[in-house]
Amino acid sequence: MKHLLLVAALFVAALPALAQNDTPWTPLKPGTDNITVEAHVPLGPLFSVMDIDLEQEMSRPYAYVSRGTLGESIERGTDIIDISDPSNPRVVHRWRIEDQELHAGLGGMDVKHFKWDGRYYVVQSLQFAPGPNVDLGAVILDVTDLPDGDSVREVARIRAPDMPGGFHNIFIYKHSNGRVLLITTVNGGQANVYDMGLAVSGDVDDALIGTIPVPGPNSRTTGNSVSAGFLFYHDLYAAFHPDTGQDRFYGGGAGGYYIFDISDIENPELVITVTGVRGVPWGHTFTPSPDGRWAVGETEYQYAPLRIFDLKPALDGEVTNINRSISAWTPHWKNLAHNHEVRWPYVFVSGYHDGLQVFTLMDPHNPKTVAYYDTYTGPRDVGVMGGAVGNGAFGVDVRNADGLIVISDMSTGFWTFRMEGFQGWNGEDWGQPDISSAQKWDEPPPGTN
Amino acid sequence: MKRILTLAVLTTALTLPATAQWTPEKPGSDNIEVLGHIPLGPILSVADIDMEQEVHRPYVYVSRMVYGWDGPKGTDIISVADPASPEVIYRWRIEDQDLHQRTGGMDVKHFKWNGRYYVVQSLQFGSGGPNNDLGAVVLDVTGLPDASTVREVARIREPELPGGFHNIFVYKHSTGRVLLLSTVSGPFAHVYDLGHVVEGNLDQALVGRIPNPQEGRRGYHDFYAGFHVDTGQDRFYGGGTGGYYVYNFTDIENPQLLVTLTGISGVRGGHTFTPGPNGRYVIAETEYRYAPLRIFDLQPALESEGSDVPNINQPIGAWTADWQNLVHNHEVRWPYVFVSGYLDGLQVFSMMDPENPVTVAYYDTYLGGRVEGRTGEFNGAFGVDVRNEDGLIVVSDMSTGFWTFRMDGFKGWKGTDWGVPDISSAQKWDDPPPGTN
Repeated sequence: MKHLLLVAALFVAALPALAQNDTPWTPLKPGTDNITVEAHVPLGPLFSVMDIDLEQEMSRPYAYVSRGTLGESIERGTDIIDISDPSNPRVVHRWRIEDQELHAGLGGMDVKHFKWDGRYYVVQSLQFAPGPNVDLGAVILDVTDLPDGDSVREVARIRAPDMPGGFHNIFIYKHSNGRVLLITTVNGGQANVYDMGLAVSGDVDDALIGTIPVPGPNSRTTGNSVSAGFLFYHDLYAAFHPDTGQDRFYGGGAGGYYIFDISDIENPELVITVTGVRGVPWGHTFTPSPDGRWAVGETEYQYAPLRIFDLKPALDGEVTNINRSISAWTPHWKNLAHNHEVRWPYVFVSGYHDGLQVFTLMDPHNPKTVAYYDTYTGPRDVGVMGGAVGNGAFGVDVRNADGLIVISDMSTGFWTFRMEGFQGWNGEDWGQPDISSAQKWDEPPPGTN
Repeated sequence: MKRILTLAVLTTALTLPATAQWTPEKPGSDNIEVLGHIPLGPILSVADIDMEQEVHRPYVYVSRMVYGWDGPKGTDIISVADPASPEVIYRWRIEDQDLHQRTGGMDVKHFKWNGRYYVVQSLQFGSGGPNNDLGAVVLDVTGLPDASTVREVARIREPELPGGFHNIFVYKHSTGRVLLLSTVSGPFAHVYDLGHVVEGNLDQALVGRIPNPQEGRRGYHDFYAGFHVDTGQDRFYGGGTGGYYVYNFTDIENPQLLVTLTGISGVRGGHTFTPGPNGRYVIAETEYRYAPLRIFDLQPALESEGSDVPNINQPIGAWTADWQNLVHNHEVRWPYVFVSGYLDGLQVFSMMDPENPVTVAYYDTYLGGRVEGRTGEFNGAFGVDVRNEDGLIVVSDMSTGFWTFRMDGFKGWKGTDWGVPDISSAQKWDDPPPGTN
């Protein structure tokens, strides 16, 4: 009888979790045993925290967090966080757009750092609605002299007056020709490519050196029913492709996902399309494995898993379009996973309502969750986008040198983590090229050494 | 203590996301009983299913198609007089099967008119062979179980919209007419008067068209019709290009768009769309891997007083058997929804709380793997039907054939027992039209 009571108690204890979350993570046990929370710093009101970027050099322990608003906050800019002690992060500088209360729209969305000519910079992408700075896409800050917050200074603003609305996402890529490129979404059917060396050297007007089109309905893509009026990229990534010696662009946008050879920046060449994929009217984020064979594709709607694509048939020239995923992964099918960082075989995910998630692609046909920590334990019906799924962990980054993991949570702020057995990442340790989103500023361009 | 730990583990497992719990060793939940099973032929040769509702007419109709590499094209008629020993008693086949292109039989529905019973078999034949314009064949099955009495009484053709009918639905309209709704290769659904069809007036049988507001090559993929008690309207529920649409088609010749469900993230085209008995909650399918069944509440739109047609673009809930797969057709017997879940077999979930649907029973009818050379998730349980009078459940499986089931505690269905109108896909041939009595 005593046993039965215990069993009943177990069921009763499980029921609220089932009803509220329907997940293994609960407010009382938000993470797996192999995840350690190093620190957590709240940053402000609900829905005021967006994407995140982490410098890779241990000597520069700085994280950059975009501040935008999908709620009532007016904070629009960048928080710079010193993580020299990852268990005790400190906000050392807050850059804000001037006259914040006059600005409408989201504000800061994506953020990336880079190094050029011995100095360190941060690019903060911005999106403003009609009003001041509607044409402003990004601001560039010189952050060389951190941790002295007073030394941070603005060096350039990148505007796109012909396509007002700002830059939703950005990516920084050190090209094989040695130039550091900023690739941005714009309010139109292309991605813009800016030379950051020119931008920070006072020649911002000449910095736009290329555009990468969104293949339209008349392209050779298969099953792409995109109308020309709605062409756009949502997010982007670039990486060197060792097998071909090409610089490659990976973009998610109208119709699906696209891969271009951008070795010649002024003449990007479409290499592979991933369109006509059922359930993918448009692509969000699209990140390849280090060798460029596998790719993780996100679509931004409730119930959508991350889809895993095998690009080999296209890389081998058997097809030019891929229209089926080989597998998929989701932390919880009722929600939606957001951004991700690939450190093969691991994929670190900012999973919105489901917090930090890590899965392995060791068997790409059967991705498996290996760790998680729910950074958002608030109500499930408070969020943006359909189904209120847009809340919680927005951005994620990983420091390759020591395996530090950082998360920006839309409502709970900044988090640092360690995952057991993950003390850093070098692709070669896994039999892969040492290629990830982390750029190597001081090494010769890939393919030249 | 071992028992406590076992139960504790099970309790924890309950909180995991939807993934398959059925295995070859234990394909079903304890509350599902398999009564009968008969294989029908090669893999991927079985399509949709329909069951007569009167217990004294224990007949089930199964569409036969070629989605794989072999198989017949037509209809199997199965007697379930003894549900534990179902028996194929007649096989109708299109003549010269080898000459006919594409799939063949897809959807099937029965009806009663003027004292006789009929079956409509939807057909799809490709160009390059005969009968590309043939949409359906109508069989008189009144004399069953004497198979020798089955005879073909009509063929419905659409020469200007070749390609056949992918899905059909039979609805007894409040006017008393028995209507066949069919998909066609055009941006609308066709409405045929089946009384005209079986009486030889084929030329006058097409009595209406229900447009898809977003025109596409095939306007609708599937549909349902039901009487809406609150308004006294005959309502059409269609899934197709752009999403889902609800029409008032009380006046068959002048259907009136009431509600649209478009702009739903992840839904470019609707598949199957079925309301509950009172028309408030609807279940919507989209036909791609990883898509759950979405549940929508139409109430805000039904109560809308604006001049524009109201639109719903956000589900209130969703259900899936296994998020890595895809579920197919469904029959609503509120609060239960009986689902033919492709690779996941028969599934039953409850919509008692429409925002939190929960699985209440299952039986996996397909234990094979994904078949190379065809879309892997399109295999297994294709169609499902439920006999309201006694709760008999039947499933047509694309590869394993025909199945009969009972679910513990489900001995029949009548809406009023659940506080809802007694309305489902099962038509009441001998009752006065709804709203007239």
